[in-house]
Amino acid sequence: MILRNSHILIMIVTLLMSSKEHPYVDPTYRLINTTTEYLAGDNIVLEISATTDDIPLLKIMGNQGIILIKPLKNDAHLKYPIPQFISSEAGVLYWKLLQTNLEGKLKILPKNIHHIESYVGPPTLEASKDDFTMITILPVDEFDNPQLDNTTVTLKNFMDFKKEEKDLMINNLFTFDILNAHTSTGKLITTVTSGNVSSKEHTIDIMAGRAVDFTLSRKRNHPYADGNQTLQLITSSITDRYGNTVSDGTLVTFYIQTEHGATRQTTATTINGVATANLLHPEKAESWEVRALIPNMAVSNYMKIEFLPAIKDFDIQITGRSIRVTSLTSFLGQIIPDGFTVEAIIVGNDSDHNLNKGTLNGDVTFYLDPNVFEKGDYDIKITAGGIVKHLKNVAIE
Amino acid sequence: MNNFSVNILRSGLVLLYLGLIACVILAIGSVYSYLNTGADRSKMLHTEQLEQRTYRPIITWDTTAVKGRSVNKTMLATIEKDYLNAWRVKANALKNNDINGVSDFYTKRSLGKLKSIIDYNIKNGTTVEMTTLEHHPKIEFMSEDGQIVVISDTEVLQYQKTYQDNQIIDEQNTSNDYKVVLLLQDGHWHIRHLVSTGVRSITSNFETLPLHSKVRGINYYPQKFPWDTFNDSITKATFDSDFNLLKNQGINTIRIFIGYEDFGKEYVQSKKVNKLLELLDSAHSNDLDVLVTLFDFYGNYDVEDWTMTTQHLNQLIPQIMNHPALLGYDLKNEPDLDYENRSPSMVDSWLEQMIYRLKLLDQDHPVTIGWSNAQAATGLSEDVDFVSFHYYEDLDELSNKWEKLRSQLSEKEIVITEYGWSSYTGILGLSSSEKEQAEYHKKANSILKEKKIPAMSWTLYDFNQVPDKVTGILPWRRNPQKFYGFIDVHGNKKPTFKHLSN
Repeated sequence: MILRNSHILIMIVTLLMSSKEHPYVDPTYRLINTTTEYLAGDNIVLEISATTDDIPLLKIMGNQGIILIKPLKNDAHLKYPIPQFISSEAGVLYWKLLQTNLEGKLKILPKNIHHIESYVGPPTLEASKDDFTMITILPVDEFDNPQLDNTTVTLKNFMDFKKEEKDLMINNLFTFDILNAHTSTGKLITTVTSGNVSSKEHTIDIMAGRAVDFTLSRKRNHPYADGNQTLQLITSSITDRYGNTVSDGTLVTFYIQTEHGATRQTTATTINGVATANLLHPEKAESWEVRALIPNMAVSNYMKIEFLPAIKDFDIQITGRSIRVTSLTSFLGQIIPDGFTVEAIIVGNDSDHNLNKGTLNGDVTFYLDPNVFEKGDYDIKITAGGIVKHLKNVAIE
Repeated sequence: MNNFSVNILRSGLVLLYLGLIACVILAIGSVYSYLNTGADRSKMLHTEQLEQRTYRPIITWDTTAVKGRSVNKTMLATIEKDYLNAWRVKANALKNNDINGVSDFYTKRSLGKLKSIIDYNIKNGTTVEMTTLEHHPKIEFMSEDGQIVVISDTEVLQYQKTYQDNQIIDEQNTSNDYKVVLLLQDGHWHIRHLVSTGVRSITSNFETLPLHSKVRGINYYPQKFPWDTFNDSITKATFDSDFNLLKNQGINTIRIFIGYEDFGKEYVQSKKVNKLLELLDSAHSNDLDVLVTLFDFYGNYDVEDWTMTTQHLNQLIPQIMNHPALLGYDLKNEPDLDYENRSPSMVDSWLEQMIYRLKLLDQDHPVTIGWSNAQAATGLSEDVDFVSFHYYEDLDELSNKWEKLRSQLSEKEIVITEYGWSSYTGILGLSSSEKEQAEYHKKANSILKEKKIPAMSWTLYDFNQVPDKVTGILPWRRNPQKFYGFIDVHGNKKPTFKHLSN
């Protein structure tokens, strides 16, 4: 009787259990582990009790891929040791016992910060109130796992002999901050720390901004157009709008407009904000208008420069086929420096020649080659230092 | 006589000489052109090479709440390209257990993690085929200098097929969530971190849909465009007159074929869809239901290609799913014929996945697979709404085979979607096969009626041409295929025409 009753009881229990059967529970296999949260690097062994002799494989889906684990059969338990390279990866790990309905998830949490990766960009800033750069911080633990939300790191800045500190919270694996520029140039040094772990040092250069307009000055040894001395054009110290000297090597272009309508140009680069250009004096009296500019940024004032005539007169001696221009003296009566240009225009009946020569010891001699200049009458025009002398109908033998 | 032979000799020599010269010039010419190959300036930079994308999962970006720098379309396009490439090369690496090529899209450190998985899998004889069919990335952050991007990619629909010692051991669909950090290095976005934040196993759980029709049908191709129903030059008038004829013969259903390549593969062409809609309109006005056979002439099935076929469905189905003439979908015509070349598991996995994708899009129309014979019809019967197969065997065995199948698949409706008889008379044209064809259809109709078998015959017309891809080029295979129709190539009704309606 008793036996029979217990049989009925078992049957009822079995019936009740089977009628309540959940689609995802396989009664043959049962997970023994109760922990579902681990720390990266923990030794994780999934233990599963089985009522059969089958040894199913365990499928693990980590962050990067899938592996299969063979169990170690121990007593009635199947032990699945999760390899270190999977258990050290923070994130949600999914496992499934193959050919069964048993599946589950483990959460692996990152360990404390071991290394702080930080990126700063852009690396240079313009001295101003509105330029800024950004630091992005990706702290990781010893297994290269990013940190959980709300982990705190400290951002430290140093600029103008002032230290600043700010706490930042990780969200979505990272955190970031905006670093504003100052109005003075210099270096902004920044780093990120957490406990005794620090990132590398980042140096952000704050450079002078766009140059503002400047003035021009000149320096010369005498005002005479001797074609020998140099004229120096000097800019004032070029700065940005906050008075920061522009970077060395900023290119300044000087434009020179002569009274005859010609334009000359030269360039110079700045050193300590000052650009200096050197120009040779002209060879005849002229008036110049000079302006310097940094294209698309800044210009100087216009400056007028007058050049006085260096020579007042000269002599011409014609002997045979030689035309000697002599007594070329400069503003003190000294011999004009060598290389001063003398121009001779020699016009015959059917020829027109233009000869140029530099002086040597205040003299120039033009030789009229018989192969070029046939015997006959020529008009000779000599020009030097803006003075023109005209000889008509000179007979050349 | 002597003179004559000298002339022959002379002209022979002259011809030989000319021939030799021609050969020499030809040889010099080919050497010259060989030496010049690759020297074309326009090709020096390889600017003509267009990248062809082979991985196109459905991807919807959310850029509404980006911290840091705002993301423009061009940046998004590069991020998308590299991010999806990262998934593609990873899938490739896991499939081949080979890390080569992955470093273009993963930083050194994240590469190490993937490498340990691959090393472990090589050691244990495991390979994994995977693909991702959907991504829903949200850009959380882009750094001011545009070098770092942080993405939350949620509900990534992943499929994984795991092999142990070359045996399939597991197939699974999951929906995964990831947080991703990408760095721009050497002009490519590289994955720096990829952290799984959630995994859910997906089981497709769709109710079996009934087939609301007592099918008396026929397979349809226009007479002039066999296997090319949606040719540019076909007009709606053709459909109208054909369908009117079918309606008058008591036909209530037609089965049509959508070529995967014909419709533009992963870029479904609207001009083809418009033609299809014209056909459906015409069928509807003639009270015909349409069973649409998808993926005709598709044969790849590789997991790598799944994103493409999914795109095909996603672009095509929404455009036709609300049409009143649509009866349902035949996912693939005779896929069991590809078992030999592509392996049954490969084909079945693809069919299952595509039924799932199709069901996600349209849960109102039943889906079937057009198996090539009654034996194959039990395949994947759990996944389809109704079972369909083709019957070209002896009519005397039809009743038995039907009964057997009926008892095997008691829960599903079953339809014969192709049966027929060719009136091909052979090269000599001796026997009068048109009569035989009429008798076949008469007999078939009586069996179908007796057993109440819903069926669709093959086909309305005889054809002048059958494309190579249907039967191959062998004439004894190709020619019979031209004579299955109820109407011959001249438009005359064949004797069997009176048995058109089953």
